[in-house]
Amino acid sequence: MKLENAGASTAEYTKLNDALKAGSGTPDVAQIEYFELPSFEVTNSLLDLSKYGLASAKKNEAPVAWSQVTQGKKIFAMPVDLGPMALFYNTKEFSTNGLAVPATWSDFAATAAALKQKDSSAAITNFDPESAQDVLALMQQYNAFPFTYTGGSKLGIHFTGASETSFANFWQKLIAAKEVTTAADFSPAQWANLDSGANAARLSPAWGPVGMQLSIKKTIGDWKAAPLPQVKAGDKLSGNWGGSTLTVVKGTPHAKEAAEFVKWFGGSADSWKILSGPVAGAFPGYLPLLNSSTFQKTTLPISGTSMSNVTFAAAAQNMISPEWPPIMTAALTQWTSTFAGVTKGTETLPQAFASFQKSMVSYAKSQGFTVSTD
Amino acid sequence: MPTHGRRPRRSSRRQWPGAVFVAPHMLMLALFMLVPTVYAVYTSLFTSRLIGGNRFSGLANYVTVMHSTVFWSGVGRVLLFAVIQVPVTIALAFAFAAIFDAGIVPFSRFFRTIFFMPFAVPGVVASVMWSFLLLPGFGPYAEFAKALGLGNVNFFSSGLILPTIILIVIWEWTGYNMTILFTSLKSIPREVTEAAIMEGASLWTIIVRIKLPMVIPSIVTLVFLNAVGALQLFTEPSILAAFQPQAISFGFTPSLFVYNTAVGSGQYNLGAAAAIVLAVIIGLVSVGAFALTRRRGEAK
Repeated sequence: MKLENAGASTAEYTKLNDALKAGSGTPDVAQIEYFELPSFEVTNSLLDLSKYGLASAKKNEAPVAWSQVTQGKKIFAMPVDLGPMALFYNTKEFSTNGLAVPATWSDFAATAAALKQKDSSAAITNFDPESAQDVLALMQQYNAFPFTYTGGSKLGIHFTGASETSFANFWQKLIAAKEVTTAADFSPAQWANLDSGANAARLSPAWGPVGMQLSIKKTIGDWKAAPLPQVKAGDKLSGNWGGSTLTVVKGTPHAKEAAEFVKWFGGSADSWKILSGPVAGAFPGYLPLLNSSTFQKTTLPISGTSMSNVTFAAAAQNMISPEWPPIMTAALTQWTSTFAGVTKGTETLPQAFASFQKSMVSYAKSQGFTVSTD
Repeated sequence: MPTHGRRPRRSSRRQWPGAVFVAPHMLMLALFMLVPTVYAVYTSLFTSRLIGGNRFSGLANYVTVMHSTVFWSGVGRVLLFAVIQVPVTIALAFAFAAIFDAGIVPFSRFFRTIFFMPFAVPGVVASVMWSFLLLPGFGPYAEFAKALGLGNVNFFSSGLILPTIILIVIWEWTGYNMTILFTSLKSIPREVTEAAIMEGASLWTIIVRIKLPMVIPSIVTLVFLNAVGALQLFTEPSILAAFQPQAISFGFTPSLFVYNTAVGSGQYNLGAAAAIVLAVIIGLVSVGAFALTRRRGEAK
């Protein structure tokens, strides 16, 4: 078996797209994130794995993962890891400033204001408008996911809908009051903010803490996971940020072996022993592991004796399954320039949503989709 | 045509060795310039869509490019970039070349090599290096600016990103231009300089009044080469975009627009049309520049 590391995310997808377009140099198996699957499905680039007995893997996979890899009876990928989100907060910052863990987003805004009043140099969290993936994950959880798509040529794009606008207004208010910072995600500035108390919490995917504890120093052991704040009190919704699948690329001469491999990779205890280890740190969509008490009781240095996996595993069971549009490569390419003005303060988040809506609708139409916007 | 056959054959035999020498270059030119250009023109006449496949669309892609404000703002940006970067680079290059040529610097060969070295560093590496050197809050230049009382300077902010790239490109290309001008200066006959010294001309007069006019043809060529390079600006902004995504937009330069449209958004046909438009713009600028210098030459 040969492995090529074709880079991550956008870089990998454009490379794979180019290879598919060129008709040569395609791999047998490609790792593809959930949000990118429809883009490859619509171009007929992935093998339907239902013909290779993948249906038997369904019972062991989190429903939110399974629904994103299937279209009707067709199975286009084997789910591997997930990125359910939770509020990862600094217990010391919260107690020093007398803050309670917010249960709803309106609590969250009040907590942000209270923190600002206590400590004018602190912000409750970081919100990077330029990072499509975290914004879209939060939008899922807010019940404001801006796309509707169930395959075929009909596509809904709704960045200016009521719930999307409410989401944009909510975060714009916090940005304008400097109650959240807008550092680039995974930048040195963001880690410094998390470590110095300038950010009291992180809206983190399940795979986040493993990397975070390598990038911070002073606050190791102070962090704890709590469910994401909710729109409606009593709900338990979460969003998914990242997570990936393994697909078998059409045209491979080794379809049967490849299908066997992806099934083993995403859905076997042996493979998960490696994947969930301290080095890979992947968060399972594989239920036998996700539900096991040994997994849920695992602790990390960053969160001391608290068991973050309990919170993240619960979040994994309560995710809304998003309908990713088949135009995500273009969306990711254009997102950053469209949202840069929000970080600079030259435009607001609702304005950026409006202009992104316009550019995505015109792109989707130019690609032959019938676009609905209501 | 037996009677006509003879002469061409004889003359072709005479030119044959020349053709052999030119052939590899012509082959490369055909493979890497002509074929891709023809292919790009062909591609630009089609539209490939996720739904509906590939179909002939005539000049539709060109119409889209012509109406794209993103593309034209990129063109405006590289023109502004060229207007600043090219004269500054060449002026600096000439100044250093003249100083080395005057023989007033000890260890001149060593320093000439040092000046040339940035050119040996690939643009990618140079961009990565500079993005660390200029990093706000961490890099030495940000610290330096703070020490000068300029506050927290962000070299990658939307207002400063263009000057920053100009700085990087000047750093990369001054040594190269200097080397060419130095060679030109060296080829000026010694008698000219000696005569001027005998007449009592100062060093300044010799450099500006005698040597500078004699290397004008080299400078014209360099202006042309640098300008074409500037209009194609790609490496530096695309590398900086990886570090500072918010500073470099989708169509920051026309080359980036072509790349992001074709590779980033899968609109290969639109990207091809944009590339052809860019090539035409560069062609027009080049022809214009040549016409201008020729007319000036005739006026003298």
